[in-house]
Amino acid sequence: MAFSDLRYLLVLGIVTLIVHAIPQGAPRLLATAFISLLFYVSLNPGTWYVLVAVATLAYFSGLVLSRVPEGRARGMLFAALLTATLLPLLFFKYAATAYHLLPPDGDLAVRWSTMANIILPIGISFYSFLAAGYVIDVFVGSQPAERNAIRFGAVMFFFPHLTAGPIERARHLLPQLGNLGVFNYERAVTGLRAILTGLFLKIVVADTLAPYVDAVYSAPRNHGAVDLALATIYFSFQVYADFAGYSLIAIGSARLLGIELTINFMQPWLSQNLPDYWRRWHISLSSWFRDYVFMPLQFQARRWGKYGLAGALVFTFVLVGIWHGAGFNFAVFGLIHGALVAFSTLTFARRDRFWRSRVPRPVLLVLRATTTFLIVTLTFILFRASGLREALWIYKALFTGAEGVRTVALTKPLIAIAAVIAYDLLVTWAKDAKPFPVWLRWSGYYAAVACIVSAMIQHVSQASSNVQQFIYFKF
Amino acid sequence: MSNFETRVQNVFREVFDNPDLNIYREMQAKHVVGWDSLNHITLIMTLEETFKVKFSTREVMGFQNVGEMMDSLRGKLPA
Repeated sequence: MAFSDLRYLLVLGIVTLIVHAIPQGAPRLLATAFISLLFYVSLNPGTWYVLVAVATLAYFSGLVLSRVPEGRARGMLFAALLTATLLPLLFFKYAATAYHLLPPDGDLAVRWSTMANIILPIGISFYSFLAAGYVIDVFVGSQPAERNAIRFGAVMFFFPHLTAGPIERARHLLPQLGNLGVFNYERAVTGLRAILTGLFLKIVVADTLAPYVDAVYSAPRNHGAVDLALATIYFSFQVYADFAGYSLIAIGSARLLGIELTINFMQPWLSQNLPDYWRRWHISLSSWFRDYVFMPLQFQARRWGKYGLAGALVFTFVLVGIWHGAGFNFAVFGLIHGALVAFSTLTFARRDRFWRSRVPRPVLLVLRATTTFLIVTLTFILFRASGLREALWIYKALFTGAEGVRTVALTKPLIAIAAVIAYDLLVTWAKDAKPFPVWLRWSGYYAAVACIVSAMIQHVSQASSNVQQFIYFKF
Repeated sequence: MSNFETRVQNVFREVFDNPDLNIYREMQAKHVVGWDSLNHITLIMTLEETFKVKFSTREVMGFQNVGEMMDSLRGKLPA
């Protein structure tokens, strides 16, 4: 049952009531952990035990690390425990690829043949990063080990963040457990609003754009440059609306239960440059890699100045790339982003002076957002194409202007895209504005509900494009 | 404010290019304009150079606020 499934809202309502009704303290925490686990088992009946194993390992790793005295042995123990915590992720994510890399008729390949069919447990990346972050935090001393297994379980299994993030930190959630199931009007209202916005982004925008993107990308060689360009631009908005929508539903669900999750998207398509984009897109992932990969690496390489910085950035982004999948296309995606972020960071001051003195500010804002959007969108081809070879073919077709009749529709997708841009501008602008009057707010809510319902009816009537699974479930 | 804290504050003012910046123990990156991951390393390196000390990666990853950073730094200085 996905978050955009209307049955989920019913279940969420019931769970919210149960969590509020159960006495505070251990019973409520235990109930939350148990309900969350049931939710996860229903989604992932085959390999739910991986979650329990990773959580148990992280819990005991914290306890052990808090007891072993400082020294070399503690460092080695930490390395072993961290590796063990991440091992299931590495195994499930890359086993199938490893199988395909083997010679087709070797003995080993026969023995490993079952591995090609391994299904990635839902959310394994997200809960593994939470667990690994916790183990690192306990080791470096920024988080005391949690001794209470029920509290730790309530955080690890907490269902709103479990299936596709936001990637949480135990040190962010543990101090909030006192608010679990404690009703707060403001939090509940903003939670409901986040869920409504999330459903709008997912069902009205992402699911409307999806069939157009799929039609072109399922057979890119049958299309000309115009189709490819449109489908690629649609995909950028689709993946944003899909994942930001998902994240908002997760954040809203958690707020109904009293917990504040990490904000995952801050209007990334208004970013002014590439480093800015990475501070606004999938924030919980980029900040995880920043804190646990980039900063330690850059610190180690600090004596090499600019080269150390560039090297640390490229390495980190290649890791971010292959986190999405084991293909070369993902590695190249990471390599390009690492190189461009390093270039942008090192030359920003000079470029900024140059452009500011020549171009008026409002024009510069629009130009920079457009350029950043186009650069990221071009790299998304690597992400959406079936592999590196196909991506290269698409680049060639786009840049040589491959001929072909336009088959991709404009009106409906462009309205959906206009809705996302309007939403992004509204959120940016409303931060400094007075709250809207009640009649306007409620007109907005009713309009959003009407759009969601009519989009759902349309999706169902076009049987081929039913409500789509969230893109990030497969990571 | 002790002499030690004044020296640390001067490093902060220099790195973040803000002569009016006043540091306090609970201060975190989010409270200071321009304290991003890049300036963070510049800050650590400037502290290392100013006080002639070395931090380990683990120490740097463990800092939660300015207070913890100062405690670690003071622990490295000769009594």
